[in-house]
Amino acid sequence: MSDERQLSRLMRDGMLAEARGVSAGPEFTERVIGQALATGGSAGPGHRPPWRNWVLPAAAAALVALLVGSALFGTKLLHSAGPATRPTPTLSQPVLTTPPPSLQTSPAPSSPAPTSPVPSSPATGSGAVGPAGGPVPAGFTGWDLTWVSNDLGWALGTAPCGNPPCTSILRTRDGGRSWVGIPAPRAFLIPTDTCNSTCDRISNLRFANQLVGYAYGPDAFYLTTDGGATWHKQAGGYAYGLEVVAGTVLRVSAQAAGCEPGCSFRLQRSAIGSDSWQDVSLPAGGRSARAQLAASGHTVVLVTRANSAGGAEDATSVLFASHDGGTSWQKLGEPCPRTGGGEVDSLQATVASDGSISVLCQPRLPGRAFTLTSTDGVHFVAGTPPPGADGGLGAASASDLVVVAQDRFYRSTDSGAHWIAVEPGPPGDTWIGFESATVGRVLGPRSNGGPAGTWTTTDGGRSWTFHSFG
Amino acid sequence: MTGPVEFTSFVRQHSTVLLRSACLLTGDRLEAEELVQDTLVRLYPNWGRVSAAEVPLAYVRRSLTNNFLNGRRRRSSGDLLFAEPPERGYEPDLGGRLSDRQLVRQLLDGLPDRQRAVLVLRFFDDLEDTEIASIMGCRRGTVRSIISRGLQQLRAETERQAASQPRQTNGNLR
Repeated sequence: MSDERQLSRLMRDGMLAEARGVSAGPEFTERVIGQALATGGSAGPGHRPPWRNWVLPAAAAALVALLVGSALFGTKLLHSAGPATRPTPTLSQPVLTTPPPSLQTSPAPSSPAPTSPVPSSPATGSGAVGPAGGPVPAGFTGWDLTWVSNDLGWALGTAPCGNPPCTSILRTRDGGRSWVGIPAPRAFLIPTDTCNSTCDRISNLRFANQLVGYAYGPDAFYLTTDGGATWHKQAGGYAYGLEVVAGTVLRVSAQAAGCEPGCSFRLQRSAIGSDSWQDVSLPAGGRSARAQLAASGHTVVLVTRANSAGGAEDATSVLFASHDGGTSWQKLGEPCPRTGGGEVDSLQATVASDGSISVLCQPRLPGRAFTLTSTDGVHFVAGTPPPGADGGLGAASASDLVVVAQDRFYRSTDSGAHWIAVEPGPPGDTWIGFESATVGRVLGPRSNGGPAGTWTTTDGGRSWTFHSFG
Repeated sequence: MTGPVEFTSFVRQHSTVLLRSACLLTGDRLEAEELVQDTLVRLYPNWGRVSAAEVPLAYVRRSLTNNFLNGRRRRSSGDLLFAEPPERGYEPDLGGRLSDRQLVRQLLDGLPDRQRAVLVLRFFDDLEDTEIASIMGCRRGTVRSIISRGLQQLRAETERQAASQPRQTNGNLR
C-alpha cells in the first residue's frame, strides 16, 4: 500500500465502514425534534441579537467611538461595532497571525474605478472624504485589500477583542504608509470567526471610489456610500465575489446564501452604489462548489469549481472570461487539466492590467504546482513556480508573475519559466494583487511572526517595500 | 414555510448521516448524539436560513463541525490529557490483522480534534481543500498538510500490519 490514491480509498472505505454501523433510531430523532421545538418556541423563530451600534447615526457613532476609544481603550477603538467597553480578550478566541491561503482565492484588486454618477467622488486619494478614523486595533490581521488609487485603499481584517465579531476595517490615504481604523459592519469575518453558521459573515471588501464600498460574503452583503462611516446591510444580499469593472459592479450571486457546495452561481451587474442588480448572461456549464471573480481593466474572469460530493478526486473547474467589462462571456473550460490521472485544483486566477489571464494549478496527488498564462484566452503558456507554491499568485503582466512558495517570495519575468527569489519580500502565504503593470500589493507581515502590514511595489514586482498597519 | 414541519422532516431524513459524521468526529456514540442534538437545536430558531440553502445538509454539516471544534475547545480546560488514546475494544478479524475500518478508527482516535475533523471532512464528507480550510479557519496548505500526514500515518500502520502478518496465520498466534 504505497500509492496515495489507494491510501485515500482505504481511508474513505474505512470511514464508510465505521459509519455504516451507526443509525439514528426513532427515539433519538424524536428527542432532538422535541427539544428543538421546545427551545425554538421560547426563543422564537429568527430570534437573534439585534444589530447594535452600526445602526447609530454615522457621525454620532464615529464621534463616540473616537472619543471613548481614544480616551479609554486606545487601540481597541474601531473594531467592527462592538460596545465601547470590551473585556480582555479571552484565550478561547483564536487569533490568526497570517491569513489562510484559502482566502487567497480572493481576486486581485480592481483597477481604479471610473467615476460613477451614483454617487460620484473624485478618484484621487487626497481628499478628506469618509470617516476621520481612529487608531488601528491592536493585533490587527489583514485579510483583504482594496484600492481605488495608488494612495487610497482599505484593508479588511480582524483583531483580538472580547466581544466578537471583531471584524475591523483600516483605511490608508498615503499608499499604505499609515493606516487608521474606520467603522466596519457588525459581521463575523470568514474564516477567522467562531460563530456557528447562524451569524452574518463577510469575507471580502471592495471599494469602487472614495465613497462607495461593499463588504460581503456568502451570508451577508453590506453597502457604504459615505466612505465607510456607516454600513447598510442589503436585504437578502450575499456575494461569492465582487469586482468593480468598467464603471459598474459585478458580483457572483447564487440561489441562496450559504449554498456552497451546491450553488447555482450567477453573475449580476449593478451601477456603483445602487442596490438594484440585474443578471448577466453566462454560458452554461458552470460548477457549483466555489466561485472566484477577478478583474483588471475590461477583462474579467470567473472560475467556478465543481461540487466534489461523490468523489474528492473529481473536482473539476470551469473558467469563464469577458473582455468587454462583463457584458459578453466566453466559456474557456477547465483551466487546470488533470495530469497523470490525478485531479488538479485551480487555486487562483488573476488578471493583469494587459488583459492576460493567469491561473495557479495544484495537483492533489503529490506533484508540483504550475501556472498557466494566456493573452488571448485560448493559448496558455505553462510556468513552473518553485516547489511549495500553493497559495498566492499575482500578475503585473503576462510575463511578470509573482508567487509565494515555502515562505519565500518569487518573481518571474518570462511567464513562469524561470523564477528568482525577491529579497526583501513577503515571507509567507499572503494576499497578492496588482492594480497596474507597475503597482502591486501583498498583504502580510514583514517577517514570519512579525508585525502585520502591506508590501508595495511600484516597479512591477522587482522591489517591495513593507509598511506595518500599526 | 420554514416551520416545524420542514425541520422535523429534515431531522427524520438526515439524522442518521449527521450522526455518522458526528461519530467519526467524536469517536463516541453518546457524545455524537449530544453533538447532533445540540447542533440541530441551535439551528432551529433560524431554520429559514438553513432551508434557504440549496443543500441544507451541507449547511448543517458545517455547523456540526464548528460545534464539535468549539465544544471541544470549551471543554478542553477541564479535560484530562493522555499521551496515548484510550484503548478500544477492537477485535481483530479472522486474518489476525485490523480491518480497514479498525485501522481508520484507530488512526482517528489518535489524532487531535482539528486533524480528525479535517480527515472526516475530506474522506467522509468529501469536501474540497478550500472548503475545509474555510470551515476550519486555517490555511489551505495546512489542510493539505494534515491530509498528507494522515495518509502517511495510515501507510505506516498498514505496513506495520503487513509486516506482522506472517507471524499470524488465521488469527492463531504462533
